[in-house]
Amino acid sequence: MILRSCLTCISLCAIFLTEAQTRADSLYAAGRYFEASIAWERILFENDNREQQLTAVLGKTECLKQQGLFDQAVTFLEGWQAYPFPDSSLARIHYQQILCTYLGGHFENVLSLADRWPYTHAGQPLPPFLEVLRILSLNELQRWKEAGDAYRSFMASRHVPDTLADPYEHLPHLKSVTKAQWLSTFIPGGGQFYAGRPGEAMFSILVQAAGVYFGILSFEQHYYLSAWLVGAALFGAFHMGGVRRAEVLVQRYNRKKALTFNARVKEQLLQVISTEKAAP
Amino acid sequence: MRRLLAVLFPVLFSLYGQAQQFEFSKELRFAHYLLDKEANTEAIRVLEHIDTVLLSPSQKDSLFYLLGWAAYSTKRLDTCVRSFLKVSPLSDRYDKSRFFSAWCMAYRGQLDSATDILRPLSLTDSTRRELRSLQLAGIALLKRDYPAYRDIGQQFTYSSYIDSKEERRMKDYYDKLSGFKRRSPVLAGLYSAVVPGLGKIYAGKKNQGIAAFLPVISLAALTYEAYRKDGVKSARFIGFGTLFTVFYVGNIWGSTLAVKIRRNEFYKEYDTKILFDMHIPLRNFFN
Repeated sequence: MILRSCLTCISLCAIFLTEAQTRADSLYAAGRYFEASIAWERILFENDNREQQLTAVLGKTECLKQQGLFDQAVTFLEGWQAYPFPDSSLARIHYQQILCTYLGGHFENVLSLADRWPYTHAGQPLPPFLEVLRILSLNELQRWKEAGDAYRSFMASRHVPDTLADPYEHLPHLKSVTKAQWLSTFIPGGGQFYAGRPGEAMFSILVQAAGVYFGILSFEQHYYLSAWLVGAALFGAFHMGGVRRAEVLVQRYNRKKALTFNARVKEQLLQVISTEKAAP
Repeated sequence: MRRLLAVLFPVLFSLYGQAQQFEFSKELRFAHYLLDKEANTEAIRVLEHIDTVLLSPSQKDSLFYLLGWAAYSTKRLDTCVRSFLKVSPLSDRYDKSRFFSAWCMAYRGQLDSATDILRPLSLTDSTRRELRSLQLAGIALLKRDYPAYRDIGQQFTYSSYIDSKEERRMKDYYDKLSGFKRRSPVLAGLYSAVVPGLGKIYAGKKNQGIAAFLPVISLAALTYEAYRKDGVKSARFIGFGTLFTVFYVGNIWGSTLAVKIRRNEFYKEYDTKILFDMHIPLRNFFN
């Protein structure tokens, strides 16, 4: 009798869980991520089955990712890291945590979490996709040398043929902000030329030259106040603005170069692992 | 058949009611669980979906209090006030709900409504009465009703553990606000007409005054030079003269506005301080 009651309870619970999961899944499929995330939380609240809990944790994480709440997802997953799940489940949570940290743009934290992986998961190597995220994070932080080493060791471990070009042999040539500032200080428009914007350089030269010309002309015609207050002021304002502009242009140039390089590396790495099983 | 229905209907209705009650307590626990995990937005959604028709008054109180608190945590002050005001006087959280809804209303600038919420409260505890005096004094200062502040301020003991510091600071704010000199926009304009930028310095914006003086005086010098060398009909004089006039008149107009801007900045700064000092004792006392 007792056994029968227990079995009935278990089967009822199973029915409830299946229904709850189906509901959460259908909300997710309908694009109602906020409601789906509540449905997954409800499963976490109402049952102690670890397998179901893991499904719910991962389900809620997906909902948060779809809503672009990566930082919230990281905090949510952190709370479940201390839960007594089996190691394989903790590895899946850790995996999602690293992925969400990367998507949230916290690249230093990605490196720290990735470095922790072998210690928290009994010496298991970092899964290939996380290895890729590690390399990409190093790239984002412009730690090219470490990124290059990690890239080569990753490619070697995957037995990728040498025919594939190593992007780290041609690192992006970044320009110096200080050099651009100095150039613009002593040669009007020089910084803009250096930053690869000849149009802006020409405009800067013209405006500054116009200021100087107006100043000299006014001085010769004995308009001393106009020489100072219009000619010199125009030159001074555009000269100082030119120095600042050169700095901004070089920063923009460097960012663009780094992004193009990172995109190339990302594409290549994703191509390599696309044939492998990504998640642990 | 009718007899059977007559017997079955109350039984079924009572069972439905019990099921509702069970469902409510489960949902409330779920909302608590979400709030503990700081998932406030999710908790609000869960609480808003609870059907209140068959709930007992105490259950409704629990629901509205929790909903108000979740909304307060997410700064949804509209929902917060609406829910807190639904908590009945029978609830042991009635005072807290009233105090917080009054603060939220004061924050939103509904000062008369905030006063109306606090005044009728019958408080037996002397600390709560002191707390109410502080809130009402803060509201009076926000309304710039200084006589009302003086009346309420007489009830301050400056010795309550919960708000003595805030009471002293409120007194300080009263001194500063009541002592604030209201500058005249007309006078500021006149000063700037005599010396460009002086009106802004008079309004309390020293740096802006200096920044306004330099271009106006430079353009005046250029206009004078053009007049002296080329005469009134020269294009140079007309060009610089027009620019000078625009900047000169603009500066006078700006000086009259600067008085109002400075006054608003001053009041805003003190409003923020007053609301902060009204809020802290509430959090300390009720948490």
